[in-house]
Amino acid sequence: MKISVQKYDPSVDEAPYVKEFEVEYRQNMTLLEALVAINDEQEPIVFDYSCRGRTCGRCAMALNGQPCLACVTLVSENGANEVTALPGFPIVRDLIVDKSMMNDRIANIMARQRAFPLTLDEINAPVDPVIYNKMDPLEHCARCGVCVSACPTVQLMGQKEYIGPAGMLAIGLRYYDPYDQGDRVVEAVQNGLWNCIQCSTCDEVCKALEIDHQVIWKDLRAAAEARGLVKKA
Amino acid sequence: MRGEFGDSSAQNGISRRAFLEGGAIAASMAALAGAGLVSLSGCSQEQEQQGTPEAPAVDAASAPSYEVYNADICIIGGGLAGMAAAIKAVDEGKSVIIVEKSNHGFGGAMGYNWDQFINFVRDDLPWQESTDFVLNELTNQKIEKGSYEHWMGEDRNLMVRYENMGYGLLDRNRETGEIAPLLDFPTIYGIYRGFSRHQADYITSLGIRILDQTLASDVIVQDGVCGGVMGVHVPTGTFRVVRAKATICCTGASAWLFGWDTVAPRSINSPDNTGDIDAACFRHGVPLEGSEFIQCDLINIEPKGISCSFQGGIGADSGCCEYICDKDGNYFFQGMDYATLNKMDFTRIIAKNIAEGHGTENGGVYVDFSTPEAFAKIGETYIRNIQLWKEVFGIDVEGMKLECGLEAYERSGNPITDGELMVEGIAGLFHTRGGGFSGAQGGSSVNVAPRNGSYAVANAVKYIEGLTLPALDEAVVTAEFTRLFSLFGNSGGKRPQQVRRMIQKACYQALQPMRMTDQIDAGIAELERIRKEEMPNMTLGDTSLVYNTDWKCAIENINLLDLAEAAAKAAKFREETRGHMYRVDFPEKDDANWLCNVRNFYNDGAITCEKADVVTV
Ligand SMILES: Cc1cc2nc3c(=O)[nH]c(=O)nc-3n(C[C@H](O)[C@H](O)[C@H](O)COP(=O)(O)OP(=O)(O)OC[C@H]3O[C@@H](n4cnc5c(N)ncnc54)[C@H](O)[C@@H]3O)c2cc1C
Ligand code: SF4
Ligand code: SF4
Ligand code: FES
Repeated sequence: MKISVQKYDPSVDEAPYVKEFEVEYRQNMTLLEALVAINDEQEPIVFDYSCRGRTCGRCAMALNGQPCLACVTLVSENGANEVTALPGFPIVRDLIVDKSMMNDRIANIMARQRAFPLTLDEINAPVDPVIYNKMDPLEHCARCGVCVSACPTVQLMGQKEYIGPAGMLAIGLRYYDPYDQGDRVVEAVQNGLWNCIQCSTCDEVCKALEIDHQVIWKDLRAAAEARGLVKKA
Repeated sequence: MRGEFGDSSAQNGISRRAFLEGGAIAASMAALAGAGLVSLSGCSQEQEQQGTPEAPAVDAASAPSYEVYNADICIIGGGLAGMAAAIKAVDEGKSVIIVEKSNHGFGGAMGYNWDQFINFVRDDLPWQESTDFVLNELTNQKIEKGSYEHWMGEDRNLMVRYENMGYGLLDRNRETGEIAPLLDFPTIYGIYRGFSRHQADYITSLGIRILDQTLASDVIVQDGVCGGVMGVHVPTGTFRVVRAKATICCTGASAWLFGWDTVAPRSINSPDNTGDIDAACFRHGVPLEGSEFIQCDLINIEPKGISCSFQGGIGADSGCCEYICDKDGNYFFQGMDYATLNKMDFTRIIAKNIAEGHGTENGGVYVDFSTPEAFAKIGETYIRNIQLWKEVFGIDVEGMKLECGLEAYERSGNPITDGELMVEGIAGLFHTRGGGFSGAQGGSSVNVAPRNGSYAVANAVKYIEGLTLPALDEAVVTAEFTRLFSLFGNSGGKRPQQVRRMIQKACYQALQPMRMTDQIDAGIAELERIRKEEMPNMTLGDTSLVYNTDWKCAIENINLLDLAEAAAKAAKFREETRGHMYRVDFPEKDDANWLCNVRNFYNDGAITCEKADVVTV
């Protein structure tokens, strides 16, 4: 099987370049398996991973231009396998990118805003099941950045104008969260809610299969609209 | 020559200093550069601050630099134990720095964003009655009692603790929205849907100083006192020194040495957890205890790429017993009273079956999901992976016989400590983790890790009262710097990745739950061979200082090899069957001779074993 891998060491290379490898194919071979095989048996390529099951988010990169998680993406025995670093993020080395800005923003959003600590009674009280069923799947977001990389709005405007689907999802999680007391609707609008073109690309690339991004976007838009937080034409 | 600059006392009282160090380090770097192997490419922070232009390659005359940070308490490893430790230190008004190998929040077992089962002992249940031990009879009772009594009453309610760190909604009935614990007894409570990454968010919101992507490689020990930790910032290759009055090691269980398939050992644990500080303590002369014990789950071994991935995989527990069969279609649990089987018995019975020659091609068993009743027993955490398997691999688990193997989710083998978790012989160094702690084991769970982390810091706070940090002995720093950077100097040997696979495979031979003496001997012999023949000239395939994973792998290998050999020898030494493992030649539990712990000693590279009494109160 042929596979080409992007390499780049900013301390010596002027620009990223591509190197071809031949790897012995096996049935159900994941991209991660192919990379480990090259790194173990041929020459160093620098990449990161941990969980081997789409929960740590550390193996995000792109195969044939498509952002993906290497651990749950198959390579093709006879087709093209062109591996590059996760597009849209600064490259640290080979397939490692710097996602710290995205991660920091998500962490800041995720920190729950509340005036007083929760009591056991408050925790034990029933919650609206509709809210629960909307919020709960969002917990599975691995913060991998695959959706952010694939999002056309982020590609067009950058993460400053539109935080991207992972960050907006975090806002959505706290918006649904009955224990959170922050103004998440303003936060959503501030972070570019209205810039999303609702194209569903994020849903197509995300491997947390229980997440439906479009539902979150709709709910946040409805809430923003109800408060008149709409973009002036 | 010692140039000192860049002292920037941060608002929270943590001062950061950076200084250039000449002398011995320059000499050692000159030697390396002379060998033409180091290209000191990334320019360090100090140089940036001074506006020095980036140097393309190290030149023998330029002095290498390292960074120095100061805190009251340094925490090594920002996983579940480490985060609880950091929170406790902040609560106590201490300045704290976390040194974390991975990106903050993404490291170790904790850094997987998975649906955790959170269980805790209620209120004031006496410590002896707790149920979260793995091998009660070998537990260090002083530690357990101390740690248990550290959190009494409401402190024990992890639901309240975690919810106030921003966890989402714990498990609810999907129709009524009512809280839905799995265990709700007067003594114990347990509930699904804990996502610990919220704890990392909480830590971020506290403004705790985190040095992440930093591999801690050794503790600073001067005259038997620990003065902090040293290591490498992986993205830049910068050497870092963190000085602290107390240091808390929370680096998780080194299960990464347990075999190898295509992307991971037979373990759900993380590649970050390579036992670096356990091994460092060992080399500083601290005995290890409980190295022979592992804790196992049963998880798929095909498809290989997600083999033993708890996160993407599918497995079975004792709830599935009756549907487990061997390669000959023998449902060997049937007829047993499996309703009362605990995890240890469950694992050991499977290990026995495999050891007796009934294992599958890949050394496992089958979980037979071919009936709807069996499929309905699939564990809560695996349900979400059914769809993933269909989508990614085109495999429908429903109706199939799934090949599963015993993987090590945690392992024991930690430097011995006193009852307050201070490492024996190294004052000011505390050691704890979630799994495999306190004597042979300790619980392995999201409830034990934070309690022990918090307990360690509570003790550390007492210890540092009135303490001033002695001056840093630069010879200690130089020695560690040289040890790490000299790895660039080898040539003609195998790459670290190749050596790593050898260590992992040999270790598995000896440490697998199916313990066969000839296999153990073969494993030990191979590990000794690796030490003699492979390690001295292990050769990096990469000479850059920017995110050099060959270098990282080589540093970790030194640690993994020490721990693997200790584990293999302890496995041989314990001539009985106990816990998760089944020893073929000694198939019975032997309390008369083995109601004790096994300690490993390290003397000039020679690793030996001795029995040690169980610590009781
Ligand atoms: C996949 C999996 C699922 C589990 N499921 C459950 C469950 O549902 N319920 C339950 O109760 N328990 C569960 N457990 C057990 C529980 O998660 C662990 O016992 C707990 O996470 C251990 O915490 P820890 O702090 O000791 O280790 P970790 O959480 O692994 O943290 C160790 C940290 O140290 C860092 N580190 C390691 N080496 C270095 C170094 N040299 N320098 C700097 N940093 C370093 C790592 O990057 C990591 O961040 C599970 C374990 C695993 C692996
Ligand atoms: S929403 Fe999905 S793709 Fe996006 S960061 Fe989360 S897990 Fe990754
Ligand atoms: S739906 Fe919105 S967030 Fe998702 S990819 Fe399209 S533009 Fe981006
Ligand atoms: S390795 Fe964790 S998401 Fe791929």
